[in-house]
Amino acid sequence: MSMPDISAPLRHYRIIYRRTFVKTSLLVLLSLVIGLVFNGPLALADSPKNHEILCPFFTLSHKIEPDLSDVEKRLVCGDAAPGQIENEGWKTIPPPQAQFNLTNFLQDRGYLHPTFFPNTEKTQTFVELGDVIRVTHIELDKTVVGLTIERKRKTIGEPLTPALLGDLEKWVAQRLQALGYACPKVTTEANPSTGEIIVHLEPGAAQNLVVIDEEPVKSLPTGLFRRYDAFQLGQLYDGDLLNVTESRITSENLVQNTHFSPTCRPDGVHVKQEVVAGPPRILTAGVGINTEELLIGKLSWRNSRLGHMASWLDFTLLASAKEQSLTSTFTWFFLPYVTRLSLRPLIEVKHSNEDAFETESARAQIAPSTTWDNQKLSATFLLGPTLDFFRTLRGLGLDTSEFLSLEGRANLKTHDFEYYRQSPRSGFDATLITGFTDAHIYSQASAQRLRLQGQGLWNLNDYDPPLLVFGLRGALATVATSETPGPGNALPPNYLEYLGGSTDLRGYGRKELPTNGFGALTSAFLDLEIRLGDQLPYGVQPFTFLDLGMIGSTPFKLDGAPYWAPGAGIRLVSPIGVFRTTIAHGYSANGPGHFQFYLSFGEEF
Amino acid sequence: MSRPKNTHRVIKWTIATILGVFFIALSGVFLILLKPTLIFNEKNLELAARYSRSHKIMDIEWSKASVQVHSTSLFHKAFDFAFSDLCIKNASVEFQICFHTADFSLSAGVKGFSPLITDLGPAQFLGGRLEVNLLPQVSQANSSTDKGSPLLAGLVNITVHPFQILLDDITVKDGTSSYQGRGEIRAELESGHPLKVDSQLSATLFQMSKKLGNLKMTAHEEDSKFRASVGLLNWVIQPAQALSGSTDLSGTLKDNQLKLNGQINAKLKKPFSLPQTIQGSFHAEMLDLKRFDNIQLEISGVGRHLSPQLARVDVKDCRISLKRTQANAGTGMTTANCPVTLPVLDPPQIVHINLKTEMNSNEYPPSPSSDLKGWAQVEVKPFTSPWVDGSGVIKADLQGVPARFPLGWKADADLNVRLAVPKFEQLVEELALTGWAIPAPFHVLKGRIEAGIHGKTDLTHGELPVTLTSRLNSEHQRLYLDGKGAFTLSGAPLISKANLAFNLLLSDVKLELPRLDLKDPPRMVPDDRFDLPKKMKVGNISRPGFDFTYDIHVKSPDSSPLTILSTLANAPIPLMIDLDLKKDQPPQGSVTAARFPIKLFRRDATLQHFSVSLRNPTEESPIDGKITVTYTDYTISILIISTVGKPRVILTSDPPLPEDKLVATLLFGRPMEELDDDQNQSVGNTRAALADRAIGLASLFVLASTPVQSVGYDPKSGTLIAKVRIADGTSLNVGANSTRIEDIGIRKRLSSKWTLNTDLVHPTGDEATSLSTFLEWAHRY
Repeated sequence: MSMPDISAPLRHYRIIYRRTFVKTSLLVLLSLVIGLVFNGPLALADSPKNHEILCPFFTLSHKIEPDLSDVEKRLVCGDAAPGQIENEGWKTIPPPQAQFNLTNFLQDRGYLHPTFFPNTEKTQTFVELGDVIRVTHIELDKTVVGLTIERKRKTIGEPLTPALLGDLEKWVAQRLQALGYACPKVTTEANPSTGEIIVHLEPGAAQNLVVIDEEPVKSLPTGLFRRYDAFQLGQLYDGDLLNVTESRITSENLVQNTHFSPTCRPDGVHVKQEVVAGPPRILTAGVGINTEELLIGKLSWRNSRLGHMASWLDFTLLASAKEQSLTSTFTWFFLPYVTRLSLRPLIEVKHSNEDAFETESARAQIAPSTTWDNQKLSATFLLGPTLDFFRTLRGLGLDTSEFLSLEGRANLKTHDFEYYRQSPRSGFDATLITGFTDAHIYSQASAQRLRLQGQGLWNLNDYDPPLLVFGLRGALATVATSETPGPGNALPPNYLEYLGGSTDLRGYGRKELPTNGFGALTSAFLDLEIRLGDQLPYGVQPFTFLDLGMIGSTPFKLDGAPYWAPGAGIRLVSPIGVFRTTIAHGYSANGPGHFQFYLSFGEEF
Repeated sequence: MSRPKNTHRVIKWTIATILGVFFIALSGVFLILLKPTLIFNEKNLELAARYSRSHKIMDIEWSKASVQVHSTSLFHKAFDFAFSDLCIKNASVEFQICFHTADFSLSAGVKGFSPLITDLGPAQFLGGRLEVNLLPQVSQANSSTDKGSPLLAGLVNITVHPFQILLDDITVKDGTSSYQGRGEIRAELESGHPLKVDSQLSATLFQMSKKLGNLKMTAHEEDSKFRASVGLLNWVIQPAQALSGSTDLSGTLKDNQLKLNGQINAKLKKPFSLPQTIQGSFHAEMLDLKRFDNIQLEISGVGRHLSPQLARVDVKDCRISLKRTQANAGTGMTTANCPVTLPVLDPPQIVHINLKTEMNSNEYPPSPSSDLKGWAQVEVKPFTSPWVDGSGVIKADLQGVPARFPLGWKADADLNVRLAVPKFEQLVEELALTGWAIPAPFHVLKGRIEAGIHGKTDLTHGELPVTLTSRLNSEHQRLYLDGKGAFTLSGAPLISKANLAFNLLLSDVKLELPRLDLKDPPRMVPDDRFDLPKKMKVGNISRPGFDFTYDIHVKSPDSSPLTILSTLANAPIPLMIDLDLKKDQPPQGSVTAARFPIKLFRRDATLQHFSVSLRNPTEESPIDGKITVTYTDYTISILIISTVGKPRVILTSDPPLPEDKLVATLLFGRPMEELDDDQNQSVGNTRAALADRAIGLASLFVLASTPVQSVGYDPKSGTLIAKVRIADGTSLNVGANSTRIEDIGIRKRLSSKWTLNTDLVHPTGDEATSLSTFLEWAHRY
């Protein structure tokens, strides 16, 4: 067998390589020269090339960011263009007035000490902008328990501008409102020479929220919105909890918009809830992406105000490379008065196409559900009979099976977890899922499913925006059954435990473990993550993590060697949402691991 | 017969006694003439000093003294005195002069029957120490009537032999000031020759231990004239070491006439930024030195940059005359006539000012303690220049003692000043490149401004009515002002307060606003939150000595409101102004927009009224406004109430409609039922922003004056974003940058239809689920 002649292609590649090398070297050299001259040591800081001619009368020592707006330019350089009426009085701006205006506009950009150098004829003025004055120190003039100005990041070292003062005032007012001071007055004073800021507080008295004045919505009973409250009447006012409540109502699409407006009175805080109901029906089409399910499409239709008690009916079609499902949910507030208790009939058909199995299933469920809140926590409870039909198209298990089970779900989470759901930083969320199935009651096998999962987030020093966010999540799950995963197993794959994927072990592929593809009866994982908060430009937030997991082939027992997956990733906060990518390597004594890459849109730790 | 005998005997004895006494006296005189040391000896000097001390005439002490008398003839004696450690004190004026050694001679004779000193000196006073503590009553103590300076007059007939006075230490204290120095005086006056003086004096002047300057004085005889010069070098006037300079004086004395010439150069130091300088010269003539009956002063000088507005002041040939009004009496009259020219601005416009005074005094020459009575006048002669003209006279009747000013003074002044700017446009041009440039939009106005002030005042109170009139126009603007008021002056013992009460009527005012865009209204005034250092300083600033306050009432007549032209409004905006402007207070009063038609929410609307009642602080000024928008079936009223800092917008209608319908109608011109999902959302956001008072007046105007596509509002950050349609079919986000909306909560709205919704991916599944964000398009119906 003769070796193929590869000398000709090699020569060709060498020529291309040489040409590319020469071109690249020249470009790099040119870039270096340009960089040295214009930005490097050879560049003259005060070189006229850096000057910016604002208008014939004014030359700035360097370019300012952001540039002056058209209106600002007109008020500095004059308005030669005619307006709707002849703007004769503003065609030209006398130099001292233009200087005054320019000083104000520069103040908006942090240039607080510009110096004006008119030429001898006073026909042109050179403006030495000086340095941008940055915030060096912030001080509160009063001590309010729970209010720590050191929490506020991204202020020290930032340009001292009126906008920054406004943001700081808003932040302090918002934090005071979260501490019970519903109607605070916050003002600031700044020293333009030293960069020091003094925040003057008039918090008033911390008061309880005593009255909610709910704007009536046609055909809905008064007090209906109270079933979404994240706060309790009679307790200390907390503005954040009102925001959580608003978010709940609008995310449920119950109404289109709602807003709380507090008024401080001697007996406490009275809040007016304004509502824009909008039409009750909503058609939604959505898209999400990740490397596990690739593109996730979502189409739903909902009528959010069925009946007097605003029950809602929802049809959702969800489709990805791994799952396709159609779910109809009816949340029925069946009692004739306003309550958090509802009955939730659900019908769902689903096709799952995982590496280890492929199934078709149908589910029917009817479950009472309720929610509960106090000032710190919220909880949801659901318990009801569920009938599942499974058809296994690929993988182990019966070809067809049906299971009647009593399914339950209890969730407990803190309000701050909910408040920051879009950008997780603090709080915890824990869910207990149960499913009880008996082989004697319309089921192929007995299986008692228990799953406790949760996650907690800690924001270092409670900074806002965060500097470092520590995350911990994990789950313990088991299926108490006499069945054994593997050939002859009567349980459908959906009832078995798998690990791997962005939701638990990021060093492995989706549901990769156990590697035999049989599934497991017990699983546990614990993920630790440290994320750098809002520190780098362009919304880039790097993080590192370590995921640990174990599985067991028998109930309540984890056997075999643990799996662990160190890795790192980047969270990118973009105007259209959060992109998150990770790369990790799985390790285990059970077998060789590999690198695993994930990219998702919107998925959070 | 015995009576005549007795008479003769008495007469005989009487004559004999008289002759005997005369003989004895004559013998005594003769004896003294033969041997003067009988009288003029150390013991009698000691007795005389003791007598002077006991009668508080003068305290004279010495440690050793000797007197020698030489007879040159029977009636002419020469005395030589020699003292060691001679000290002469005068307690009443705290005067003390001591010499280590004092040797002096004098010769005396008899002329007729009067003793007469014929020669003085030679004398030598060495190791001298002079200390003078000037007391306030010194000036009063010297109020005795002048006798025509007999000492100087007498000196003319005495032969003064060379004398030398060496003062090693001279200390003069005057309150907080002290002057220290040393000096040497040599002088000689020979019979038939003028006085020969050659003296030097150098001194260092201190005030409160701070050095004021150095004084150097020389005097000598030359060409039969007495010439003297005094140089005060590097002197500094407190406070703040503000003024320094040098002074030179030179003079001649001849034939009883003293002529003095002087020069002064002064310069202001820091903290004054301008190079203020004063240069001057004067010429003084004392025509009769024996009596000082007629003193003529002629002063010329120039001051440069005395104030930012005053580049130069020229005084030329300012004549001051001091005359004795009655022979041998101590009364006098001072008259002055000083032309002053002020070149104002560049090119200089010369203003001629004449300062005149005529003052009678009860002393001659007048001193600070003299009682003065007379008048003074400042006359600004009518002047005309391209940009300002005017004239004025201030005449005051004065009476009082200068040293006691203002106690006991009477000063009744009449004031009449008129100023006019005949061509405002030329004033604009003149000031264009200065710090006093007329700002836009006023700088395009043309016309005339007149101002006047006239009235009476004295030292403690006065009232000076003032007037102001402007008639300024441009193509689109008008500024007709008519103002009347008065300065009220008060204070005791001297006017220390002035208050200007002024009523300014905006008779006809029409002004343009700059062309503004809806996007990012510019910052027109500095953010007052950056004033921390200034505010800290305010507490430390001490009140100046003169307190000026003003209370200016600005009002527009009901029949002619102030009109504002703006590209943002379709019609001129009539404003009723009623403001009080007071010193150190923000404006108070009201600004009311009168009823006028406007285009709001794409419909014809009417601004019924809008008023701001200005308070302190301005942010808490109440506002009250009402705009009505008329529709076919109902009329919507937009009430703008509360305060400037936190305006509140309330929507009402007749007949009543729910607020959401009102917002829907106003924003989109359609009822709620016909709005799409996005518009419904905008209605809710607008209502939320209204409730949170996040819609200021500017935002409301933006919403009302442009076709709104959508309104976004983030209650957490209080950020309002309105997407408005602009003319070319594109849209514009007005308000905060959308990236500033905080990404908290479950749902984040990206645009009208699009949201980011963070949700569970598989909410019904049993497996571990995670949150995922869906980019969602939603449509409500």
